[in-house]
Amino acid sequence: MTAFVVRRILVNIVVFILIGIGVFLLVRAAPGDPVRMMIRPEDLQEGSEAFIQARREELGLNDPVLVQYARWFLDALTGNLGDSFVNRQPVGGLLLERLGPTVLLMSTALAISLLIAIPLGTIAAVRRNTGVDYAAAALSLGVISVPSFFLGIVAIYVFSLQLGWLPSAGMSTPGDGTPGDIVRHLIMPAAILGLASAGPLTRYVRGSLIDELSADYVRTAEAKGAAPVRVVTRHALRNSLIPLITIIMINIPQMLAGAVVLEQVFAWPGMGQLAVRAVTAQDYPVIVGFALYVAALVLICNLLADIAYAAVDPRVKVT
Amino acid sequence: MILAVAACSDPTQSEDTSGSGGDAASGGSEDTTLNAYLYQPPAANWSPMAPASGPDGVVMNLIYDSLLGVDPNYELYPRLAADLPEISADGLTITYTLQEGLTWSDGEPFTAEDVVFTYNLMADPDTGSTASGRFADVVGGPEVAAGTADTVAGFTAPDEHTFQIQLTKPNVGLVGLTGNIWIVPQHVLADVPVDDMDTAEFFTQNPNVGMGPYVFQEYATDQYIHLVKNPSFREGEVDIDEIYLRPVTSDVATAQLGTGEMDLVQIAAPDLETVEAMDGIEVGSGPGAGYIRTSVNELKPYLQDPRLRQAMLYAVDRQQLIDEALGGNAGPVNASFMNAALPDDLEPYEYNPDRARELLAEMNWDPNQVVTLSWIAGQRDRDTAATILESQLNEVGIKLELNQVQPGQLTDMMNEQSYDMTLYGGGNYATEPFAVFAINACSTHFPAGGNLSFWCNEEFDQLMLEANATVDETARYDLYQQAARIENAEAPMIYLYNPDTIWAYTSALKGFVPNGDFTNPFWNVQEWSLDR
Repeated sequence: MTAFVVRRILVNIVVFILIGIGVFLLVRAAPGDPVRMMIRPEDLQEGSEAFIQARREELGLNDPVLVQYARWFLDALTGNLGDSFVNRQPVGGLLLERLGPTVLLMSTALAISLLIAIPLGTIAAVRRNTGVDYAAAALSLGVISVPSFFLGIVAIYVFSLQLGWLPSAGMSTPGDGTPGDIVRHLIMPAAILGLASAGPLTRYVRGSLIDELSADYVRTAEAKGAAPVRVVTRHALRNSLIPLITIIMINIPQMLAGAVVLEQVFAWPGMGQLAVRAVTAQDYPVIVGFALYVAALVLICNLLADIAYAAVDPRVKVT
Repeated sequence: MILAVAACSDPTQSEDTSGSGGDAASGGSEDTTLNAYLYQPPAANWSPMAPASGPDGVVMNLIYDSLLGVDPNYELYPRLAADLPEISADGLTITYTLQEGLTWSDGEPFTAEDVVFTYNLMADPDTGSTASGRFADVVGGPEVAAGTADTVAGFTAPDEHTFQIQLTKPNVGLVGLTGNIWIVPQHVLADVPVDDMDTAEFFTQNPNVGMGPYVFQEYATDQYIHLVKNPSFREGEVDIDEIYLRPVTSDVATAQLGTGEMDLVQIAAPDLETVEAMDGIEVGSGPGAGYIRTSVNELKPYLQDPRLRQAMLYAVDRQQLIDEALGGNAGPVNASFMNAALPDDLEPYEYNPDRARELLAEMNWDPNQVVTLSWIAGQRDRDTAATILESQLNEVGIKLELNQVQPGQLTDMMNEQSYDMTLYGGGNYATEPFAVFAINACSTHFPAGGNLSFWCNEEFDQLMLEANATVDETARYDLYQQAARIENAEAPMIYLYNPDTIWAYTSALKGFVPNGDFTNPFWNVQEWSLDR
């Protein structure tokens, strides 16, 4: 088992470095020039060109790309991801100060999606091909089909504008920022993000549970006279949740993609907004930093899924 | 009075405003707090030298002050200066007399030395300044720009309340182009090495000493900028105690206006109807300082004949465009000049497709020649403009094809001078007519300047330079008007429209005067009050 984990970690590190090289080269291959984009054409004047050349030199953009990469990589080894081209602040700090809000949003959304998906999927599986099952399927399909930014706008209209129950955007009321205030701001974006991933999760829970319910050990339990509720919750459901671990782990990076969009809609001060702005401004160091953060998240989630799977299910061969 | 207004307002509004005031936290129920929309999160570099960034400019207009300001009529008026500057008869000396007895927000006295210090920073590219070129005519300016001198010899402070600029040749436009530079405190920044100025903690973290009506308090990343009133403001303490500037999307901002979470919002023309239907919301607007246009690349042999551009202007129903895309909230444009520099006898290029066809026939325009219009899509009015151009130009026999590009792609196309036509907008030509030189002169072809049509007319250039060297105002504006007539006749660009900047605000806000410059809604904030 230890050898398995160590080997997987080493493979992931190599993949991570390769992703870094790929992203680094790709953003620089994109059209445009980050320094030139700092000054709008109609603001150009005599002397602007001198600034542009000086800034390019200062940011090392005149060096060959491989030299730029080597310099960046050596810095990155010491934990320094470079400075934003736009506001000259360290990328690590820019990402870190937005990590909290994003993690808060995603973890709340994940909890909400599990609280919806597990009961709903279970009921749908037990009462399959009944009205309840069809309703659950329709609901799942609905939230999968409707883009979350649209749900977000509708929710703002209904709950903020019409009913006045919840604040429309932001993470806190300026000058307030108490936990209760943050929770009120969190409800809408987290619920919508959670709902979006609850859809597919419900289907997985249902499918997985149906498989288990037809297994021999379930029939045995039933034959021994165990109560139906106990058969489902203590026997079948527990086993059916094993594949779910993998699904959740793979879902987390997807959820991040949804969070990037919802952070825009709800002015949530997370990493998504930073990433979108960095792409627009061609702020290379921030784009690379964000891409590496996402890559790390995906790799770690996959690794955890593998390990958890191996640990939970002895039938998985760890070689 | 306050009670009456509160009683009339929407119940959700009064509930939310009492929550957003932070009264519970600060303990003072008398505090007035204004929540204003910021159209983008700031770059969080509040240095006057940093490349222009609109949302950061809104903040700097509140925390710093300048010698001169620009009012909604785009006229200069004195702020830190006691009056408009005096220009000597030979045009070589510009003298500002500063108001006496002013102090920085930390209590230190404000003197002409602060002004000399700030102007030197602006003239030095090592500080990250993008504006050093503006001072090419100042004695010693080019030396500092080239790095052979540390300070500009032509910036002096003969006494505590006088700031003087010595020029090597007359440059009247310098006043309009540099009088509104935000002055920064020498006593705070004197020890920062010039090379480190663009990353100085004062500018990136905590610009908490200034001469503006408000003092920087805190920036909660991507959430809000918190400002509190400056007790030392030159006109005395302002009435509204605190301001929160909050970057949200325009949809959310419009919604928040309805819920009372937001008090002042800049809105897009299509949202005007929604906002006007809201209770307790006022709307006001002012003409913008720049305009939306389409540059025609004259380096392409098939795009050089002025009759082609004239035909394009006649072929497009620009009034229809203004009505359709902007609900009428824009003005017509027929030259880059505005206000006093704009003559009233220009060709208006009224919609006349027959005239367009005539001109095209006269010049033997090849109807099979494809012309491509490249622009950055995503803004409703500009996208509508592009589609109207496509259909109406095709109608008169100009094969226009649309090409949506990314910002980076357009930058590359500009560098390679490879586009046929490009649609964009902006600039500020309303205060200082000489600003037009940067987008139209032979010497300012991109990337040396902002001339994206690559138009070149030596007579135009001469008139512009002569005007800028003419101290007498009547004679100067006469020269600008002559230049405007040449530009209007040759039409280096397809002028489209000058969009209004529209503001919506709570009717509790008194004294607000809508400004067409969307980075400066707070220009007269000292006259505002909130009567909730």
